[in-house]
Amino acid sequence: MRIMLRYFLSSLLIIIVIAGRAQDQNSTNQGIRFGIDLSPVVILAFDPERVGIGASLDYEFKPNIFAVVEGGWLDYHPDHQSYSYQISGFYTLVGADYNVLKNDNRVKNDILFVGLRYGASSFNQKVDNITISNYWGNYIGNFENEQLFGQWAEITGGIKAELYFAKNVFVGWTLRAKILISGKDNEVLEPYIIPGYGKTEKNFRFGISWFIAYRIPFKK
Amino acid sequence: MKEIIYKLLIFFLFLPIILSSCQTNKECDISTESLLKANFYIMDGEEEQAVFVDPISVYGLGREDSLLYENDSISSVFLPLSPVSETLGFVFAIATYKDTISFTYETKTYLESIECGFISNYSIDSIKYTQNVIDTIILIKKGVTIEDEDHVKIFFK
Repeated sequence: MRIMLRYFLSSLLIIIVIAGRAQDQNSTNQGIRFGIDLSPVVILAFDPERVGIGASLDYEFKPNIFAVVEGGWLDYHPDHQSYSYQISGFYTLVGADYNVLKNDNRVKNDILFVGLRYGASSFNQKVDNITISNYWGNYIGNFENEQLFGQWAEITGGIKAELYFAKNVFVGWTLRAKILISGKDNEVLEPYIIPGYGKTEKNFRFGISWFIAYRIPFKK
Repeated sequence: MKEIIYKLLIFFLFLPIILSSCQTNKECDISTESLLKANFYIMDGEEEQAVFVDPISVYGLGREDSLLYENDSISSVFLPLSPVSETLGFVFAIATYKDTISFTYETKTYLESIECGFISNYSIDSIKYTQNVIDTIILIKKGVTIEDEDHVKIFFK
């Protein structure tokens, strides 16, 4: 958790420092964009065992290049009669997006982007009341509570479009190709899911997220 | 260009709905018990020969009330192990003879999937046995998993 906070704060600091220097770019509407991840709401509708939140900050620190910080929390608690399993923790992503829309295609502040992310998560794995029944009778066991750490890399692509009826409000989606770096190898029990990354059964996976965001403009 | 963006936006907003309709609520469709497989042989001169034993009853040591095999004619058995112990024994009763085989093993329990839950795998450390009707036992595979594999050869006299 403290590692998460440190990553988040230092990324934020980098963005603010660079922002101070980039005031006189000719890109329109400087500002920090604060977004809310809408995916947890969708995921909850289809998988009530997954509860989460997510947010993001991004800033155009050079023309067409955005520094991005994302973060969130996930609690996964599947209901099963023969065991009790829970993964919960925080995650953060740091990276940059590059706008590929050429100026003549560009409609004011809309972007179509590709980007990279580094992701990390600090999470807890809790396993109780495992019941294994067979010829020899019932076995009831559990595993120790463990605090684990996972890392992955992402290649992203997506759009961020300003609502024509609400200035400074953006919506969009991000497609993500994720590659797991670490967090799966655990002596005791391999974690089933890593917050921010997803199910660990695959070391390479896709994800998609949606957001709504507000860009807080800087005063010039 | 803006229209294309909005079309893309709307398409991706509907994508999860499309994707979720493909996703079925999965039931566990695999066997979730790891069984030790023992095949029966006799020595025909220098060669080993697979053999059917009849009649044979097999039950767990201490569990005479619950027979795994009852007066069967078989050439192999599947023996259940358990995380409740590090050593388990089985009684093989053939006609009027009885032998007891004890397995000592290590257990590793893991999460197969959310649907299937937890499964125990075993690693056989040693085998002890009486020799009233059994000549020798050879361990060919230490790891007992949910896969159907041969683990032990039992040679009868």
